[in-house]
Amino acid sequence: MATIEISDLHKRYGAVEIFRNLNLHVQDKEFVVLVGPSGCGKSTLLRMLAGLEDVTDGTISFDGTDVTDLKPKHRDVAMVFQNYALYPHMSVAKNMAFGLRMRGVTNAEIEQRVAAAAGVLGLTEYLERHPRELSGGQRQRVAMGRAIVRTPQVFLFDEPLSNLDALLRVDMRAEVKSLHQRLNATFVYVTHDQVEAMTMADRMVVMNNGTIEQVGAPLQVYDKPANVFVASFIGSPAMNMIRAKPSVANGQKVIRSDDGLTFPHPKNNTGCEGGLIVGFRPRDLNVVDKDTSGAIEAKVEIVEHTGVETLVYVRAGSHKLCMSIDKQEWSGLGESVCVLPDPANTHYFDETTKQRVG
Amino acid sequence: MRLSRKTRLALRKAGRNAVLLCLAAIAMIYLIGPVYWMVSTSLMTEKEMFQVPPHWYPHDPSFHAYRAIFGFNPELVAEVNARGLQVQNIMPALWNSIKTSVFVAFATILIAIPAAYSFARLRFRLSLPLLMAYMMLRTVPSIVLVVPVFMVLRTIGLIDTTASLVLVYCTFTVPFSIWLLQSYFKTIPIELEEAAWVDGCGQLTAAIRIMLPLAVPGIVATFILAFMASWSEFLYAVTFTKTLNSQTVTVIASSFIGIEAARFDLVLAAGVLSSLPPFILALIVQRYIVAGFAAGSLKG
Repeated sequence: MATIEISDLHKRYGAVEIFRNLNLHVQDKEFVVLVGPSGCGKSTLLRMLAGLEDVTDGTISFDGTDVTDLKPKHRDVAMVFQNYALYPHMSVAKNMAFGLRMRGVTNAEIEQRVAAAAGVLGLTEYLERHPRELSGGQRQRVAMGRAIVRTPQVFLFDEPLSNLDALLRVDMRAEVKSLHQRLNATFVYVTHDQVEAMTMADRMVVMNNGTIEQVGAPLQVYDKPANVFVASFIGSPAMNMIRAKPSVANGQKVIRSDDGLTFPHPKNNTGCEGGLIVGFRPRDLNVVDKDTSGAIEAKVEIVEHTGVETLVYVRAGSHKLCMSIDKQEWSGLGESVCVLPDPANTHYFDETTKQRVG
Repeated sequence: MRLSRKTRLALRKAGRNAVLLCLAAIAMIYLIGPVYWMVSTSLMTEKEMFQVPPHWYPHDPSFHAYRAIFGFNPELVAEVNARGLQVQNIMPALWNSIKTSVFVAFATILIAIPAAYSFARLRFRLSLPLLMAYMMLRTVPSIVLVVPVFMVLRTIGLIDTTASLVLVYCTFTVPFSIWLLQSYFKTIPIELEEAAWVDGCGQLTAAIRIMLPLAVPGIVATFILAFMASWSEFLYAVTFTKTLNSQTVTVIASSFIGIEAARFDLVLAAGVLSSLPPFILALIVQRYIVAGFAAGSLKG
């Protein structure tokens, strides 16, 4: 298996610059998920790892060996494509065996490896079928089978679950994760679905506009987002964000928004002189008594029941805030409530740089 | 009497179906009519052919014309030759046509596949201008090229050879085949090739093992089109061939019509015979032709 080292990577299409000075280290046997909105460059990065896209500048190394200019066939990677890319004119067995055949593996070994992979993925009875005769989930498994029979250095996944229905996606998510544990290999997985990223990754790489915004374990990224983009992209519903400025109230340093909402001053004072963005997750916004210090008066506008939780949208000043509470009937549409974000889980970002300051 | 809504809807639907049926019948007559007329007239005697009012079918079917063009009706051949026409055995001409068309179709496919693949998959600067140039080649009228091409062929000693026809026909079958195939190749997802590259193929191996099998309908459709284009070509064939060494069936069929006399029964019999090979070929591979056109031309 392999470590991956991406150093000072540049990618340009004509005048359009996709990546500038991108650096990333993936450890051996790690499950890294590249996550970000459409067009952020995550698939391009994955394709560069596979050798399907040229590198304008910089290097990509597997286990210390520079593979930047190597053709895909010399990289010893396996890739699962978004649309599976199964060869339509070949049976499932031939699809899975194709890579081995291309590498001159003997027939006996091909048979044995295909049978083993088919057994693991529950495809044994479908080996003689053609891709058109399979369901979406089965095709997905064949695509994974084609990857695992080769036991390559690195597995690359390009949004492999995005074409599946929600229920199957959850099943396959667990299957991919258990596959990683069983194969003990380096996995790089691309998705735009942050839930998929959170549930599968050892480490997440949050990308936006061709730059890496944050790298870290899922909970670390969720609890300590490095900047406004990560804070708003990770977590559903999105984090509540309010622009505010340092101020003084009753002799105490506070953060106050233009329409008078007041928040405690961050413990770490550095960088809090200019404008700030205060963020708190819906789960960290609580209903409190009117007398509670710092309580924000709000009016309930919308109530949504998701089953596990109830989302209450309230209007506070000119801001619409989302509050997530344990599931319960809420009949007080239009009623006034007092809410307060949990100070321990309130995030502060510099309004200019958008970076975390507290 | 007032009709119920259901009845009115049923009547309207029946009326619409009747109109559609009529239109389909007209279209069928338009397409099948000339073929029927050719087959039926080829089985009539010259006398019956010019009967007034005309016979819609041969009252006394006769294969005299077919026997004559195959050389089994010496009396009719002598009679026609006496009128100043020259009846020749059509068999060598049929063989020449088959030979020429098959060579052209294979040569076209062999040249067009790599060219079309390059246009579909490789990024190079002159890609679009070159494709447009191929298109422009199709707009040059054949008649304009007859004399210069004749002079070239005469200089290199290819007049009255099958090779001359193969060479010349390829100049117009290859460009349209490249167009057709490159648009067909574009309909095949690039990810399939990319998957093959990751699986250990080079570009050429992936093209041969993945692209080509998937492009079979497009390739077959192109083959048939090239075959038919050269099969029915007349102008170059009549100009560049002189003897039965290379004369094709279209040339021989035209020889049954002279300045002062014409034997339409012989022309039509030759027409029926010359329609058979492409018809049979099209019948055998019709599903490929439909798939080829659907994916290559319409969608692409």
